[in-house]
Amino acid sequence: MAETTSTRRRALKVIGATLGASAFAAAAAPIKHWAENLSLGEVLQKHYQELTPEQLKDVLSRLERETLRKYGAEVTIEDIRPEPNTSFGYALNLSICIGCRRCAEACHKENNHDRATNNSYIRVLEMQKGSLDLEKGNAHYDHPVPAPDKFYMPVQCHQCDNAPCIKVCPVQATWKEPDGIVVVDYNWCIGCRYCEAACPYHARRFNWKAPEIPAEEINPHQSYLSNRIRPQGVMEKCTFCLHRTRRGQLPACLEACPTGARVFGNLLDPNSEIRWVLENKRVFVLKEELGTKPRFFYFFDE
Amino acid sequence: MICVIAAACGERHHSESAFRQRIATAPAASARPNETPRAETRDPVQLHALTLLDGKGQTKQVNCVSCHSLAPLDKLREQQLSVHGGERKLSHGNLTCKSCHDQDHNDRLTLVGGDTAPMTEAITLCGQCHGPQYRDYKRGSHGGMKGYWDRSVGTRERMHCVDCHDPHAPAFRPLMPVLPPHGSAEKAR
Repeated sequence: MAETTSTRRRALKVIGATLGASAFAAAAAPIKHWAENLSLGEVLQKHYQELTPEQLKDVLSRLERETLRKYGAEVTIEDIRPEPNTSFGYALNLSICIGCRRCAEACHKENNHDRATNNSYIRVLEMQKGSLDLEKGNAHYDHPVPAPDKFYMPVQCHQCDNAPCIKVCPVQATWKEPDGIVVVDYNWCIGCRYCEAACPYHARRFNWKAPEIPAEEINPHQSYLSNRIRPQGVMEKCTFCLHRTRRGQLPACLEACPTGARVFGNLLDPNSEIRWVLENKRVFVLKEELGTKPRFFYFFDE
Repeated sequence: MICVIAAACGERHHSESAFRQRIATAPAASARPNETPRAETRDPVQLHALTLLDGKGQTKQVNCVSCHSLAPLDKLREQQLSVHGGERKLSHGNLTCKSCHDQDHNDRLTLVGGDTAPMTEAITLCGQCHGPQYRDYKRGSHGGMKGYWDRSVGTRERMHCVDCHDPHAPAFRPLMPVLPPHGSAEKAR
């Protein structure tokens, strides 16, 4: 009799364990699926600011290998640090801009944006002359420009010194660098999109899917904090092309502007062109009343 | 019989407006070290010659004076710029040919004081009337550029007046915007 009980108990145990194990496997299946595109190195990677130089080197080479595997493109991903005594500022002349969106196109190519969605960090608003009501700005115009009685206002990240997007990030995946640029660690971001909601300029974008770009169109000169191809499910934003500007080059959107409406430079250099504009033109910032302290300025000619 | 196929400067501006007009350009008065003015080394006479087809259908460069010795500027009341190619019409305020072009030296420009200047110094000519734009240009807040903002690191190339503006019709012609945002076709309706 005792033997029978023992046998039944054992049988129940075995059945229970089997059921439990298969239930666990079923419950864990979505995680396994999700982890298919995630390497162990990425899961264990520390925050950008905590990486040692050796760890960072490993991360960069891993990202280069992954880009080659996923996109078939040989790229160089660097870690480009801020230069000392540099604080970037950008100004845009609304009297000159004609709304041709060449800046948005240059951004699209330079920063390896998804081709199908025409994504760009720059949104050009067609505005009624005499009004600065952004709510009435139209970003979807599709007719020859400039249209009569309209003016055009490109909007991108203002690299605010008092940035709401940084404050709301629950994991500190976004922060301000010493040269004024607000950056995102794409490998630390959890994709909660709080920053997108907090930005009063609609300057942040969410990667609903991994960008799709033909290998030959990928810009191979990449940096960790700016234009490397972002993974699915993370936020991204304009970095004033830090991979260019930290090496002294002009941003891609400025070079593409056929009208010369854009002025970029170092705010700490009293002889810079950006300083001349700020000191001599009628300059304003968007939504000044919010106290965000943007580094992106607009101006009109007399 | 010679027929005109293209105007001065080889590649004429096309539907993309006059972004790339290549009449000779001048170093900016404000040119800083490391700043490369466009096309400064080209021969202005060459640049301001017409590319024509001769009787055998071969291209040929013709200097301004070849025609204008017989048709001096002050006889050209109709302002028939179209002979220089394209559909150009003079559309620059109340200016006439002689306002800018020197009657006696067809390959030179005439300045307000009576002096002449080579074609490469068009910017000096333009600046005589367009003072605020000339000032802004010198201060770096007018006109396109490429290269380095930090000129201790690299050079910068600047557009000049006639790189972007057709001097005979300087206003930008309307053009189609590129890269419509996702879903624009539906939202534009």
